[in-house]
Amino acid sequence: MKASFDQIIQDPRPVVVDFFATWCGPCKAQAPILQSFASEMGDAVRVIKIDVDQNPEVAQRYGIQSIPTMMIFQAGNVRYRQPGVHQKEQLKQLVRPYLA
Amino acid sequence: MNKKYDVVVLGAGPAGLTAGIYLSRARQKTLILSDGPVGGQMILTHEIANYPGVESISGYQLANIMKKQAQSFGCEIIANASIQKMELMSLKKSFVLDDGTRIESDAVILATGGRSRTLGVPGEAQFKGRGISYCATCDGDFFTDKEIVVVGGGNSALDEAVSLTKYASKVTIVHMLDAFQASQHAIEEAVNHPKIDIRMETVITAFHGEESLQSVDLKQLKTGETEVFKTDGVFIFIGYVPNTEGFDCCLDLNERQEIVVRTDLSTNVPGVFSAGDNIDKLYRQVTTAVGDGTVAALTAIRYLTEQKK
Repeated sequence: MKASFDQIIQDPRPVVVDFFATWCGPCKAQAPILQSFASEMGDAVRVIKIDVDQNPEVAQRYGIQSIPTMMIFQAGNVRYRQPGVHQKEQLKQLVRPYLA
Repeated sequence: MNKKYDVVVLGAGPAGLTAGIYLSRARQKTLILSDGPVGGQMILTHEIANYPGVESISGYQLANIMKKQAQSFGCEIIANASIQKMELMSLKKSFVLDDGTRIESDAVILATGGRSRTLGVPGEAQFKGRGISYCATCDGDFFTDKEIVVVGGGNSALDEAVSLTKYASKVTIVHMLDAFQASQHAIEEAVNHPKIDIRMETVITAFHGEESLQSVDLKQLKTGETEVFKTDGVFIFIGYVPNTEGFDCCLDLNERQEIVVRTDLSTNVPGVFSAGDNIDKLYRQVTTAVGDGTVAALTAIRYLTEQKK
């Protein structure tokens, strides 16, 4: 997972990463919003979910101490990071500056 | 697109969902409209053990049951909506969503709830999610074997401080007043806990760190003494602020910005009712929200019946 995560965030497209856990209520509320965002954006963005319990090294590396936390990477750089449930419109606005 | 309803319920927490159940069951065409997820603050609670009739359930599960119940009676729900415009003063209430959908109704129930109050001191926004948390059940696990601070002196602060001892090696409660505003049981449990330290009449005046939080500035209010206090995490439980922004145009709000209601949960605006954590009241529990939702729905039904006479 570690290697592939590092590869994924090198993508020139914005990569939206949802750090979540299976036992967290707000994370479950985030899931359908993220799903809808991903299908609406199509190939313009890449959306991935990181289960913090399954991938503790990745979560630790980015100092995730609150879930859900949303991060946006592009070409390996951190463009955004904020905890809490994110609405679809908010996500669209956040990735807009990084779209090709 | 135009949609018409008898009642629009704003907010999908326990108050809104209950109002939806009662209204739909009384054959009122009802829409629950929310700019957040279904469940409201309930979904932040890992375990609800004081909801009568249910021994123990997660807030997320309870929210889902309420949602299904409302939908089974025909209630429609739009969650995570982006509401562009809202008109409450007219006889016909209306809402416009960002996709252009226009929604009209004869009555509205405002069940918009509240959110955690923040301290409003330097560094708080910067370290949110990097050491500062407002949700013990969400984030407690990240502080296993760490030393943390809990801010507040009410029931939630003390209960959460005790529950956080499952993870943290040491919990320091920081409270600005000289006494706790909590039940005797909660106070005793916290005060007698071997892992809990207490600092009364003390406030946090700043948060410091690099990537994540490393320390806070503590100020003893009586002596004025300040100290740099090393900590890995700070959990803040200092109450709630009501989600009533934008209502001050037309509704009577009290000094805490809560909606002023009569005992039947009607407001100063005809056809507008309110329920849950956003109203002027003493106790904020899932059970009280559910009670409010019921009362507001029944009052709205009575209002609609009288309008049609």
